[in-house]
Amino acid sequence: MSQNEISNYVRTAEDVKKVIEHAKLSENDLKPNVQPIYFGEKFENYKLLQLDEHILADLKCGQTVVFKGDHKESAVLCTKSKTYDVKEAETSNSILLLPELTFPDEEFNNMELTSRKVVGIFHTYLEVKPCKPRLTKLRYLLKNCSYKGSELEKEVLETSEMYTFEHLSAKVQASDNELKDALKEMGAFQIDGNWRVLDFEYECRALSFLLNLIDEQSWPYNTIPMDETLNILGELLPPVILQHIIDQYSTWCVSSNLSQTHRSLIEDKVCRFMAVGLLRPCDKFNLSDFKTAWQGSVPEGL
Amino acid sequence: MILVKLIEDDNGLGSLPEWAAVEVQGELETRRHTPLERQYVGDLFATIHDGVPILIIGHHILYGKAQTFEKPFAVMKKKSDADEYVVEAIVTKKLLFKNRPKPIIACHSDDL
Repeated sequence: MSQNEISNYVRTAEDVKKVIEHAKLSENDLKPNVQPIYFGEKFENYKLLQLDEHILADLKCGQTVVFKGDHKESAVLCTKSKTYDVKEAETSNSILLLPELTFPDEEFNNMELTSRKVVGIFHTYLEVKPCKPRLTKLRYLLKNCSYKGSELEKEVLETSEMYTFEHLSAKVQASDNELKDALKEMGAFQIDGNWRVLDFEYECRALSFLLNLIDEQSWPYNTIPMDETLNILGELLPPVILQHIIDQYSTWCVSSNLSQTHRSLIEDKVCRFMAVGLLRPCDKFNLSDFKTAWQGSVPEGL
Repeated sequence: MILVKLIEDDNGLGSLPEWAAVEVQGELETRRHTPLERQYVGDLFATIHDGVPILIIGHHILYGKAQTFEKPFAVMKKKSDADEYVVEAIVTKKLLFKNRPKPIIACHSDDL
C-alpha cells in the first residue's frame, strides 16, 4: 500500500482490474463505472445541520433561519414561525461528504474511471428538535422598561434600555411569529418604535379612569361614545396610552349604526385585570369579600 | 444571533446543490497517520444485479446499501467576515457501509 502515501497518486484502469481480481470479484458482475475515491486537497470547515421538512422548505424558498442565544443560553434555531432546540450529536461512524457521487440506482454510462472527492469527514452534526419559544427573557426585558406614566417617562428612558422589534428578535429565543404572538398576548405596544408594556400600577390607574368615566356618565358598558371618551380622558392620559387602553379593553360596537362611534368593553379582560389588581397586594382574601370588591371594581352589568 | 442563508449563485438566486454521503464504521486513518488530505481512499463499485455498493479500501472489502437519511442535512460553512453560515448543499442520500470490513486474502497483497 506504499502508493497510498503518495499524495498525487491517481488510479489507473490497471490498478482497478487488479483489485477486482484480488478481491475475487468478477468484472462481469460489476457495473462498468468504477468510482475511485480520494480525499480533497483541503477539508473545508463545514458543519452538518440536521433539517426537518419545514426548515428545508424555508431555506429552499430563500428564507433565512437564525441561531439565537447568548453565552448563558443553549442555542435554538428559529425559522420565521418555529423554534428548535439545537444540540450537537455524535456518531461513532464516519460520514464522508462527496459533492459528486453516482448511486447504484443511477444511470451512468461512463466506462472510464470517475474520480470522486471527499470534502470532509464528520463525526458530529447539529441535531434539531422543535421546542416552545423561550419567552421568560421577553417578559423580563419589557418589565425592566415598562411605562410608568408621563411624569416618570423621562427617567425610564434615561435609565432603561429600549427595544425595537429587531432588538427583541435578536435577544429572545423565539421565532418572529412567536414573538409577535407573545407581544400581543402580553398586551405590549409601541411608543416611538420601542416595544413597551404598562407598569401594573399604572395600568390599574389608566383603566380605572376609563371605568370611572363610564360610571360617572352612566353609559352602558357596551355602548361607550368614543368622541366624548377621547375628549375627557385625553386630559388625563397621553394619546398613545389612552389609545392602547381603549384597544386592549374594548371593541367597536357590532350594531351598524354604532360601529364607527361607540365601543363595548371586553368583559373578561376587564374583569380579569381587576381581579388580579385586587388579589395582587394580599396573601389572603375572603372569597365573599373578594366577590363584593370585584363586583364593585367593574362597571355595572359586568 | 447567527444567520443561516442559502448560497447564492451568479444570478443572486438561492440554489441548493445535492451532495452525497458515504458512511463507514469507525475511523479512517492512514497507516502512518499522515494527513488524509489528497490521499487515495479506495474504489467504489456497484453490482449489476441488485445494485449493491462495494467499497474496497486497502485490504478490506465493504458491502453496503444505498439509503435516504431520515432527516436531510444542510452542509454549511461559516463566513469569515460575518456571523453568518452559508448553506452550500443539502445531503439526503448516503451509501451506508455498516458491516465490519472483511479482509481480502490475496497472495500479492503487496501490490495493493
